[in-house]
Amino acid sequence: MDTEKILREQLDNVLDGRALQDLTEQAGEISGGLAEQFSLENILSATINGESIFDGQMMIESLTDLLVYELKSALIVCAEILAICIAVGLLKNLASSFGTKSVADISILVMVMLIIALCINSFRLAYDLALDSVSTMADTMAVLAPVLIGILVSTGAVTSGTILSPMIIGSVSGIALIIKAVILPALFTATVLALINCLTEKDYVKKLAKLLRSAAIAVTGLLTVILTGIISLQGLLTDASDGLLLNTAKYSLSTFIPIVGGFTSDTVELFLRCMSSIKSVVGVFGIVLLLLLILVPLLKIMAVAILYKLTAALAEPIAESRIADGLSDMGSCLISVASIMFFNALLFIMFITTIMRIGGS
Amino acid sequence: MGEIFTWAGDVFVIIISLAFFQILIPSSNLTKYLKFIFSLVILAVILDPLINLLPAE
Repeated sequence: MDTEKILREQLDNVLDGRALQDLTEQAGEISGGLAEQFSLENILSATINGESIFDGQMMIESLTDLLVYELKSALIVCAEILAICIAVGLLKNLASSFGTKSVADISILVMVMLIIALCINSFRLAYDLALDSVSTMADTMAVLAPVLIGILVSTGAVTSGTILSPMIIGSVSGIALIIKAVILPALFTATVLALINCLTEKDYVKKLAKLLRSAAIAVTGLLTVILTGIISLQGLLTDASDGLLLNTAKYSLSTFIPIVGGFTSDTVELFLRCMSSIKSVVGVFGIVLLLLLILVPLLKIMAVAILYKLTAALAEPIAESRIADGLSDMGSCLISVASIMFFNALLFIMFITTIMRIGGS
Repeated sequence: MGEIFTWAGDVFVIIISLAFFQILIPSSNLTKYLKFIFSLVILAVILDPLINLLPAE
């Protein structure tokens, strides 16, 4: 088809294919083969032929496979923790038959420390995963944003391009830095505090842990709202001024140039339309890429979180309630890590959709 | 970022050692005062980073 040829040619002209290829490969490594059906080429041909880009059956199957695999691999730690909990329960009931109470107390303390060590170990894994995925998403955005902005400028939205480019790139690296340097460490600390709290009979740091956790989530939510608000408002404004510019150009082309002016104006319009469908294709590609990058770490962390909540529920009847509380808090902290990653991805997706919306594709 | 981990480590160590201590001390009339003093120590360790923020004089 003719439009297909034009689109492909223009895509080759405006895009540095290699950078995007690298991104796809990286996403493929992380998401385990899911990325292949979402290559730029596939999305482009689906757009041209008007097909759906999602193969629902396959998506659902690979996602359930992934979830089951993660649940299985996290099951071992939970079984260990549960075994220690059973031992704690046994010791507590046998404590009266020992000579002094302090012997049983100290052995329970040591066991609780063992549980804490196991928990912190698996939290550390989730934490590293979250750090990694935030960095990868920020790197992906750092490659994608200039490409998208370049296409945006070539659709005629010059003002939007020049104003949004530094804003988006600045906020992407800024928010990645804040999440990596402040929010995730704060969550780590909150988890450690919540776990230490189950060592002692009296609550020493329970509220502190809760405060840190809710502060981390509140700061992320606030940052997301503020940045999205600013960028989409700015997008609306610059969009209006771009439209003005473009319409003036088209009008003056067709009016002031005799005879060929009408054709030239139509050609310019066709070119701009083509560019804006390319912008949609690249934007959709970027969103899918970000989703794929976040999907697997999110599933892993959520699987571990679900299992910790389950262990807490199972440990409650046998072990002391403070251990069950600690495990449940640990699950909540993992869910918080997952939600912070999700907020981050949401913010980046909002940036891409803001760019896609400008210039009315 | 390093400081927040050091702080969390400090809180961790102080609570663990005081938990051991509370079990090991012989029970007497003074135990409840000791427990109060332990809580004060934990409070001091938690507030430690804030103390550094205060002006020097």
